[in-house]
Formats: sequence, structure tokens, C-alpha cells
Amino acid sequence: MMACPMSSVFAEKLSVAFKDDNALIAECLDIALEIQKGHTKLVGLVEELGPFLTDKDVTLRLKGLIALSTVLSHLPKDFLNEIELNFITTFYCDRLKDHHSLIPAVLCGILAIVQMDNLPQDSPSRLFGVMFQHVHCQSHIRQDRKKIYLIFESLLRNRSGDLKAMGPDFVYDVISAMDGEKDPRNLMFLFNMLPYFIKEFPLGHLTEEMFEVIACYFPVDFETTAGKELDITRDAITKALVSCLCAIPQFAEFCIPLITEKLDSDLKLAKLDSLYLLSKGASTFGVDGLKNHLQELWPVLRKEVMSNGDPQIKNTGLEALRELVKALHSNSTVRQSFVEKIITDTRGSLCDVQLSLYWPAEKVLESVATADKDSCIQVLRAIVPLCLGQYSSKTATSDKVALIETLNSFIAISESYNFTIGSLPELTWTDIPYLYLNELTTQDTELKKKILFGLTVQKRSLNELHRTSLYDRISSEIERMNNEIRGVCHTSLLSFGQLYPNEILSVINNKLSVDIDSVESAVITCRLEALTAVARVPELGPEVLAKIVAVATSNNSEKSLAALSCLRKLVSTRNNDFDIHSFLYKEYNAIDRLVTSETGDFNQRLNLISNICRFIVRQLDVEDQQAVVNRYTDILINKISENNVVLLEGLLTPLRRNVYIQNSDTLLENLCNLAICSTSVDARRVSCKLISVLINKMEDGEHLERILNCMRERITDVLESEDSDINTKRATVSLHTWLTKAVITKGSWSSQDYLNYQLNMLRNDRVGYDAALAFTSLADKSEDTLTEENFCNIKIFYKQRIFQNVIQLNSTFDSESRQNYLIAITHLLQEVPHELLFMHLTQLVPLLVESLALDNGELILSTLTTLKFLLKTKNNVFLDQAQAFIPKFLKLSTYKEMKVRITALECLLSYCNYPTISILPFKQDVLDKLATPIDDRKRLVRKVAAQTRTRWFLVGSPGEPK
Amino acid sequence: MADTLENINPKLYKKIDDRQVTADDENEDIVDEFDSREIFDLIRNINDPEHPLTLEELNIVEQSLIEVDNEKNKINVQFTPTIPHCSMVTLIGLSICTQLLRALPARFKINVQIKPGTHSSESAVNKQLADKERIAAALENGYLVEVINQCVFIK
Repeated sequence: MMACPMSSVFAEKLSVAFKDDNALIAECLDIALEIQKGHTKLVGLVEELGPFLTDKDVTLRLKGLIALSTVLSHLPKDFLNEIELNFITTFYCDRLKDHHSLIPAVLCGILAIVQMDNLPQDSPSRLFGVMFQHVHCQSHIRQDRKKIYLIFESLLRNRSGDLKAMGPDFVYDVISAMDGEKDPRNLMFLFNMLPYFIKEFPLGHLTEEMFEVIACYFPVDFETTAGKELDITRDAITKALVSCLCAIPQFAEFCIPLITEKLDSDLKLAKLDSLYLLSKGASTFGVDGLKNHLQELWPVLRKEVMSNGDPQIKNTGLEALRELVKALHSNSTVRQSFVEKIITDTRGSLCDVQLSLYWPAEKVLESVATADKDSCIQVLRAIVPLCLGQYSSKTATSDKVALIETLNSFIAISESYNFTIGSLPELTWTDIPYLYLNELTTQDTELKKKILFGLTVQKRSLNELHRTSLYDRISSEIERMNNEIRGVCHTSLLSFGQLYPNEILSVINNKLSVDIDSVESAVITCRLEALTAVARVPELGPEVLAKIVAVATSNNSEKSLAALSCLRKLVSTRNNDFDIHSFLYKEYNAIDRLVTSETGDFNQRLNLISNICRFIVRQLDVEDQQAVVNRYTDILINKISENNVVLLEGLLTPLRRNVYIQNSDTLLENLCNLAICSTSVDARRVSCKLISVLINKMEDGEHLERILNCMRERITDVLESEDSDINTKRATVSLHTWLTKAVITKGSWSSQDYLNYQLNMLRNDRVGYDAALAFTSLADKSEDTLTEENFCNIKIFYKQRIFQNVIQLNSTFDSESRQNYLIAITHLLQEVPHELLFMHLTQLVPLLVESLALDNGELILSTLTTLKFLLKTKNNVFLDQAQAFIPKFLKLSTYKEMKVRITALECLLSYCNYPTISILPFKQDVLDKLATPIDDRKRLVRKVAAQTRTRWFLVGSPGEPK
Repeated sequence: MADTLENINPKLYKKIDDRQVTADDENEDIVDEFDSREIFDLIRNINDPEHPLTLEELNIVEQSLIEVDNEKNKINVQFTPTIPHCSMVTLIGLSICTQLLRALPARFKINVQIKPGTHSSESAVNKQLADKERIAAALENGYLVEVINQCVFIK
């Protein structure tokens, strides 16, 4: 073909572009596009490039090659036909023999053509033949090595048949090419690709070479810090490497000696990796690969699972052991003799539950038993008689507890295989259910708990007689005053309730009566708690809930309180099996029953009812919520009182934003009156909260502005008036705090105004201190009123906004208001998210130093509490300030209040985790001064003082913990 | 290490629960005297030099073998080696001594001894542990201090 007129300028353009790499690439892109459009032919380009490609000057040849390779890499994969590619293959094969500086460009070109669809069948072998002969992979830079691997990977993926035809020479060449690779990125790439290669290509006599060339990286020695920039972790490389090392069964004979060798190392990582490799490899190696190595493997493995103190190594070892036994499953002779060996070696430790190796040995057998059913049976035959024998001869309850715990574990394992210990021919003499039921009479709490737990584990294997006997025991245990036992009884009831609902229902009806007239309160409370435990079972829920609500709405205050507490516990959590909320509201009309049962004279009861209503209403949809509002609010708003405001809060707080409340203005006005003038602290608090929720859910606008202004006026009046008493003034501080919170959480336009007012209250000489304390509720962590669950409008950064505003005004508070300001800050610090604290540490630390200097016990304590937490961050700012803090803490270690003394000492203890070199100068002073607190009059102080002093003794001494 | 242990599989004892904090403990006006439980709490978590276990778990120290006399400023501690020819016995005694000297006020006279009849070289070791100067000299030995510090470091 003749070149098109356009192409005649290629050479010219390119020779200009050769001076600048970027321009060259841009030019090549253009050309690739031209070729695709058919405006020019590749052959034409090659002809044009001819003079460059054959030039004596190496640099010019290089430029020419770069141009050609770049063009090729920008052509579509199906663009060139087989003849063209054959021609190009020949060309590149020749270039591989050229000057070494051309190789990178050649590799680019080869990488481009090997990805093409029409590559001739003999091309891969031709290319590799020449490439391996002339290019020594490891003497090239990382990027070029990567290209070689990419070429390899591409052909492996698409042309593995052609590659296989090259025979063992090819395998040898691949091994030589990657031998010595050091770059983690390239290794990661290789390790991900190799398992396929190893599995697909017959390695023949090169198996060991292949294994060795990757085994030399094991265990991976790699700094994670270096990997951060590369986005590669040691873990990731290890995982990839391990899947190469155990890719094929033939590797077993090399891999297992590697594992035994590395397990012997002192390095924790080497041990962990070896155990991991064994876990992963066991199933691939199979019985044939493993059986000859079991003799050498077990002793090294035993050392790690029995005597190693490191729980991580122990657990990884147990996992490896389980996989190992699992892998032997197909050959029962080998498996059986291996398991027998394990049992023989651990029996000595298991024959006395008090031995320190008892538990490690027990865990070993647990691992074996979880591997497969046959091994489980084999282990059970050994361990069950050992346990039962000791159980009858041991007298100490702590030993009996340990033995029952062991039995429980093995019962659970056999349950998972669906058989019982008694069903094994050798163990028919055991009657474990009988033993357990019999031992249930023990007086020891711990033992009783374990036995109950064990009976629950074998719930499917107990016959009806056993179950009836157990239910009897549980019903009587439930009424005893032991909390721990009651808890286990409840779990047990729930477990059996899920399996045998009718049986438990009859237990409830016959043995756990909650009849208020005939059962005394202590007993009824216990029974109600038991009912609560099973209320989530769908088959039991309706009947059980009806019983609880009946007691809750009865007029016996003590019993109804108990029932209400149970109800609250039930409605405060969601559960998927049975929708308690919907049942209570729709089927059982619980809100009505509760609200009308309210007698109005009893605070605790009222709070509980309000709380329960809140949880139920929260789960209702808009229509149901609207129905609740319509039904109650009218009555409640018009005759709002200190009592029913609590109920109102429960009903109104969790409303969705589009539920309409009639007469909301009147409601707010009444609430405002209560919030300021009520004599009941509770009523004031509840009113403030309800106002806050209502305001938060209102749309910003004139209406809201008017309401807010109205309230602000009342607040200002009270604060400025000489006549108002201090309690009223405090009430307005609290009201304003909740208003501020309402507007700031929703990010309203008036937020800044309210925040400024709030901060200004710190300067008030009568209520400034109260305003400072109020900052706690402004950013309260345990907030349950203004929350998203209650459908409030909450902006995520509102705490940050409060915090930054407060910090900024640091310099404007002095003399009298300074202390209030510092109190406000320290209270705020305990509530804001930790990330926020860390961001502002350098500004905060001087304020904390200042707070410690003031003689205000409460301020000092809250500052110390914050510091105790902040010191754990080991931030450098605390090193810089050690000179200020350490002497201060020492001084406070003899302060008049014990809590201050304790916290100051805890802060001193925290300093021990800072670099030795920085804290060593303080050591002698600390030791001398702490001689006083270790003789403190309070034991709690002495305890921390002794801990702190003994720890400081280690600072800079031989054997100091790192 | 496992090959050289004198007692590979010693018996284990249960740890006692943490001391309950009473209302008196939190009352600023009440003076709390030192008692045997408080001393026990100071030493029960000392690590055994050989095993990854505490002296309490090995039953080397027991609350019932501790006497405290607040008036005469005297504290007596007896300990029980796991086996009668245990070569670590001096080291264990030294660790208990060191921990108590560091954690208790200087007004107390501290006496650490082997429980009578539980060790083959009981009197020799007791003599060493009662000799203040020998203890001081031992604590000058860098290697010994390192081992003791590792024993008394409570995680």
C-alpha cells in the first residue's frame, strides 16, 4: 500500500516531537486514531519510521521504537490481523537482540501485541524464546520487570495452551525470570498470578525449584510503614504468598518441613504465618501429602498449643490443628492413629483438672473434636470418662465447675453433630442428663449456673421426663434472690420456649402465676422478670404480655411498678421475632390502659408509664400517632398539670414531624409557665425538654420567631428582675439552655443569637455558675430527648459549633466570670466527641492547666477526669507540658477530696506510658512525693498510689516494660 | 524455656474476686487501716519467674499467710514454693520484698519468709530475705533487677 498523503508528514512531526516525551505521546495518540479511521496504514507508519528504527544512533532508534510501541498500545485489540501481527512479532523478536537501552520500549510493544486477539499461535513461543534468552529480567528496573510479568500474565490468561506446548523449558524460564524479585508491588502481582500457573502447568522435575523460588519470601519480612504509600500490607502479601506455597499437593513434601522449621523460630510472626500456612495447606496436601509428616509436625504444633503463653499463637495453632485433622478425614486409619497420639499426649494433663496444662489440653481436644464427627467420637470416648471420674472424686467446687464447663463444651460439640454422648456404644453407661439434673441441687452459684447452661445446651436431647423435672427446678430457682442464677434461668426458659412453646406456656400458667391477690410482691417481681424473658417468643408473646400489662395497670403500686419496669425493658429494644410494640398498641390497647390507670399520685410510676408510651408511640406510623395525639392531647393540654406533663412528654416527644398538634401555641405557653414557675423540679425539667422537642420540629419562620421572642422576653425579665428568687432564675437558665439546644441542633438562623446569650449568662453574678453547669446538657452524650429516633431535626456538627464558639471567646472572660467559663469548658469537654478534642488539643491544654490552679474541687475533678482520658492519646503536647502537669498532679495527690487524689494519681500513672527519656527527669521527685499518698488514710487512694509508685519505679530501670 | 522448667505442669488455683468497694471505703471521714487483703492485693499479681502465671494462681501467696499489725507497724508475709526444691525460691521472695518495699509506707517493717516446712533450704533463704543489706546488694545487680522488675510488672 502506498502511504496516504497525510502520513508523509508523520516523520517530520515525530522528529519534532522526539525532543519532548509528552508531545511524542500526544502525537502517537493522533497517529493511532488516524490508523483506526483508515486514513493511514500501520505499514506506512513503519516505513516512515524506518530511518529512525535503523539509525546508528541508539537514542534515535529508541525514540522510533517508543513511537511504534505507543501507537500499537493505543490500537483496539481486534484491529490488526494475523499477518500483520506475525510481521510485528518478528520485528520485536529482532529488537530484543538490540541494544539493552531499547528493551523497555520493546517490552511496551510486546505487551501491546500479546493482548491482541489475532496474535498468531506461534508468536508467544517465539517471543518468550528470544525474550528469556536476551533479557535478564532482574537487571531491569521495577517498571520493566512489571511489564515482563504483565506479558506473562496476559498470555497465561489467553494463550495458556500455546505456552504449555513449550514444555518444561518455559517453566524453567519463568522461575529464573522472577528469581530474586524484591519489590513488594511486583511480588504482590506475582503471588496473585502464580497459583494459577502452578496449578495449570506440569512442573515435573522443577517442582522443588518452583517452590524454593517463592519459599524464600516466607515468612514475609516487610515493614508496614513502607507499605503504606504503596497501599500494600504485610498481611496481604502473606495471604497471597501462602496461597502459592500450598497451591498443589506436590508442594507438601517441601512445605511441611518449611512449616516445622519456621515454627521453631522465636519470632511471633514467623510462628503465626507458619500456623496459618498449615491451616490453609492441609486440605490441599490431603492425607497423602500429610501422613508422612505427622510424626514431625505434632511435637512442634503441640508446643505452641500447649505451652505458648500468647493467646493469638495458641488460637491460630488450634485452628491449624483442626484443619489438619479435617484433612485426614479420607483415611480413617491415619486419622485415627493421629488423634490417638494427641489423646495419649494430653491425657496426662487432663487427669487432674487442677494442673496448669489442663485447659490447654482441653482446648486441643475441643479443636480435634470440631474437625469431624469421627474424631469427635474418638475424643469423647477418652475425655468423658476422665471428666466423670474426676467429678465424682473431686470435692472443691472450683474443680467441679471446671469439669462441668469441659463437659458443656463437648456436649455442645456433639449436639452440633446431632448425637448425644449417651448414644455412643462405649458411653451408654453415662447418664449425663441425670447427673446434671441431680447436681442442680448444689448450693454453689457458679456450679449451678454452669449446670443450667449445660442443660440448656442439650435441650434437644432431654426427654419429656427430664424437661419436666428441669422446669420444676427453674420455676423454683426463679424465685430465689440470686441474680446470676435468675439470669441463667431466664436464658434457659427462653431457649426451651423457642423449642417447646406449649410446655413453657403451661409452666407459666401453672407454676408462675402473677395473680396480684394471691402472690406476694417479691415473688411476683421475680415471676414477671421470667415472663419478660420469654415475651419475645411469638407463640408466647400475646399471653405473656397480657399478664404483664394486667399487673402493670393494677392498683397495687409495688406490684405494678415491677410490671411497668418489665414492660419498659421489653419496649426499649426492637426485636424481629415478634412485634411487641404493635401488639401492645393495636391488639391490646396498652396506651389507653396505661394512661387511664395512672392515678396521678405517684411519681416513679408516672415516669415509667411516660417512658413506655414514648417507646410504643415511637414505633407507630403517622396515622396511628395522629390518632394518639387526637385522643389525648386535647384533654391533657387544657388541664396541664405538674403530673400529667410527664405523660404528655412521653406521648408527644416521639411524634413524627408531620403529625399535627392542635393548639400548639397554648400548649407551649402552658409549658413555659410550668418550666419557669412550677415548684416541682421534675415538672420543670420535663417541660423544658418537651418545649425543646416541639420547637426543634417546627419550621423556621415568623411563627417560630414570635414564640421564641416571647419566651426570651420572659427569661430576660426574670434574670434582670431584682424580685425573682434564685430558684426561678435557675429555672430560666435551664429553659434557655433547652431553647438554645433546640435551635442549634436544627441549625436554625437564630442559633448564634442563642449561643451568645447562653455564653453571656456565664457573666451573671447570681446564676453564672448554674449557666456553666448547664453546658453539660447542651452537649449531653446520653441525650434521649432531642434525637433522631424521636424524629428531631439534628445537624451532625452542632456540638462542634458549640465547642468552637466557646473556645473562641476564651479571652473575653476574665476575673469573676473566668471560673464559670472554665467550668463550662470542662463540662463541655466531657460531652463532645473525642475527635473534636484532639483537633483543638493545643488550645485546650493551657485552659486545663489554668483550671487545675483554681481552688474549686469540682472544677479540678472534672478537669482531671478529662485529662485522664486525654493522656491516653500520648499526644506530644503532654510531653511539652509535663513540667506543668506532673508537679501539679503530685500536689493534687494530697488534695482534701479523695476523688481528686485518686484521679490525680491515675493521671500520673498514665504518664508512665510516655517515652522514658522525657519522663525520667521527674522520676525521683515522683517517687519521693508518692511516699505520702501510699500512706493515705483511704484505702482506695492507697491502691492507686501503690500502683502508680511501683510503676514509676520501673521507669528507666532494667526490665522496664515497653 | 519449656525444656528447662522444673515443674512443667503445676497445679492451678482460682483467683479471688476483686475486693468489693464498701460505703465506708468511699466515706472521706473514715480512716481505713491496712489489712491482710490489701497486702495480698499488692502481691497476688506478681508474675512467676518461670510460668506465665501469677503467684496467686500457683498458690505461692495466700491471704491467710499474711499478718498486719498497724500499731506496731509490722507486716509478715509467708509464701509457699510450688515444690520443696524449687530453685526460684529466692527470686520469688525477693520479688515479694521489692514489691512491698515500693508500695508500702516506710514506717512498716516488712518480713517475708518461706512457710515453715515447705522448702529444702528454708532457713538459708529466710536468712537472706531477712537481711536488709543483702537485699539492697541484690537490687544493685542489674540482671537481677531486670528479672525482678519483669516479675513485679502488673499488666
